[in-house]
Amino acid sequence: MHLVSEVLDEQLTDARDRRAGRVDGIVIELREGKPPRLAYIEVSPITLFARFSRRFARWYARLDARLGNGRGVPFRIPWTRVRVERPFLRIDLDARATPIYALENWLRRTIIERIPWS
Amino acid sequence: MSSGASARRSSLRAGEPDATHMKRILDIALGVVTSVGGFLEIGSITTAVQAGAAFGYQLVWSVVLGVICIAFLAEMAGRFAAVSKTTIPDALRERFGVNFFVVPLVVMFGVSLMTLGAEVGGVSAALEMATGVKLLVWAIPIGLVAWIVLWRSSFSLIENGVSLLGLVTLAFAVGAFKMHPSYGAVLRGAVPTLPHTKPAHYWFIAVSVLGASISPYLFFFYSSGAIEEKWGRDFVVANRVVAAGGMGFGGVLNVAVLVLAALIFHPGRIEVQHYEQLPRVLIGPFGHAGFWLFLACLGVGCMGATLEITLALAYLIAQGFGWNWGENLAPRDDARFSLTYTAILIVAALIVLVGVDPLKLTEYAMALTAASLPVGIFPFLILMNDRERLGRYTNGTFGNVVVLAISGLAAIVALVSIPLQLIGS
Amino acid sequence: MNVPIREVHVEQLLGRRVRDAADAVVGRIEELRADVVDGEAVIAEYHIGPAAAIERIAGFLVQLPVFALLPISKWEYRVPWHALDLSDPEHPRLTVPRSDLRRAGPSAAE
Repeated sequence: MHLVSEVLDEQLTDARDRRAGRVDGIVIELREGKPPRLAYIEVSPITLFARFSRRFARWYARLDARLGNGRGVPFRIPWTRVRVERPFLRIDLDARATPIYALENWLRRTIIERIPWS
Repeated sequence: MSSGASARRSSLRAGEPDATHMKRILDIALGVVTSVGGFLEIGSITTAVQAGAAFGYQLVWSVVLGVICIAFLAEMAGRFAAVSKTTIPDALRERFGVNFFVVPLVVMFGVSLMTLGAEVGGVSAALEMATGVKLLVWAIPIGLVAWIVLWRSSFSLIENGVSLLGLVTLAFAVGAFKMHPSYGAVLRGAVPTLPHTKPAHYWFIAVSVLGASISPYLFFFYSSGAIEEKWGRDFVVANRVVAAGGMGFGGVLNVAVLVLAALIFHPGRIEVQHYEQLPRVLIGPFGHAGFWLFLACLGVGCMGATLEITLALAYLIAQGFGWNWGENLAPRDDARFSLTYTAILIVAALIVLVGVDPLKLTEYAMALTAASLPVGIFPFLILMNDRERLGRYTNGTFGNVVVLAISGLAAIVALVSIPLQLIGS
Repeated sequence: MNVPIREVHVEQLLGRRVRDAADAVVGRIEELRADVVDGEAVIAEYHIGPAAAIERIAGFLVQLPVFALLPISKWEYRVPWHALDLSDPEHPRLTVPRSDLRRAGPSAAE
């Protein structure tokens, strides 16, 4: 499996077939005397911004942290919870219950549901 | 050019194991018909009118080249989505990475937003001419109507409904026929020639015509629509027929607009500088009824394009960032996507509200579209030759060469002619 | 005291210059290949050099006969996991001599 061409930036779908963002980052764990382990994927604007400007990513992270507990850090999914199901990568989570859908959920509750015919 | 290609796609229903051969033929026919109905909008109409007014039949070749190119691109976009089960923006991010993806994202978003402003301006202009109420006043109501349609309707209803209404644009073909043009002279115009006068203006109009036909938002939208409609490999052949037929007949309408302008404006060397002049192309063959026919053509065509471009931009953002999206989903199920198209419509209405002239905005939007073609098309062609994604459905050499040549040429000419036009105006 | 870095972001490694013991640039990291070993996904090798990037971005061009004539570097090194030191991810280094590395043309389908 090629991580850059087959994992990074790929579309994720969740256990309920909802689109659940893209793989914004991949974390490998270095180990003494053993090959690095594919540990997590990250789905987060912080990780995405860091690919352009780490300074901007840090600023965004500080802003995000003000929005509540547990915020301000990228959301990580263990690689063991990811399956390759072309053309997507499937995560065995309900994305709505994760920070992936934090903005989506907030927009739905705060704005969308107040508009008729939503 | 507008929703033609996408409209014909939505008429082809997926997942019908019992569909008869006759039904498939009827579906293709409907697809072609709705392609024709959705072809014309403010970009194709105004650039064709200005081409005919300024240079007679001499720029027919630019319409023909543009139609050929978009027919190829539309077919490729439908094939790509049907076979790979992904959209073009999906594949751009996945194949090239986000650091590259932001380049076409920003360029196409900017150019398409200008075009969207022009389309909203087109509907506004049609309503101003119909009612006498100033164009600016219509910007917000039009944005609101477009928003309600997107908020409440399914993809098929949007595409089929508007495109069938757009069949009113057949009036251009009928009008051109009634004016008895010299068909030999029209055909000679299909062969590229050098300008006799005003070379900078000639090439500027030529690339504007190309930009009106080969708008990247079209084939990006096309691929999204194919996914909305759940196309599979069994649609590949039908898609080819409809893309060729729909774009071909749509191109005939576009040529008809140019012919009418050549007959109405060119003999008197009348420059078309205000949108109030545009209805004359149908007043000539139809009298006063032609005025109302033209307003109907402009209004319906531009509204269709407004809906399509708005969705195309929302798809581009949502797919690029992996959000849940879909016009067939309720807004509560794709909140970010729904609010994105809402915000896009607000910006488009604001473009008109600040008083930008729709005609001038259209000219430059089309020319900038042509200049930016390589940014959208070249990566797309790489995807169309990706055997891992498409297997045996990759492009042939001919298709690659045609699209590369036309879009590359358009971009080069645009980059030269836009500054010259600015200097000269 | 420097604490060894235990986690590395792959997307931050992409494009990083790799140097050898003599501080000469070997190439840029363009791809990582992972295998499943004992039920665990681990990094098997790093692809260093332009070929992986070229294949990823313009794969079909590589298959055209004319590509062989173009003056574009098409090589890459396949560096096994133990031959790259990522303790400083911003400055990855080879742990073996360059001459020990396997050099390949544009990567074939595996």
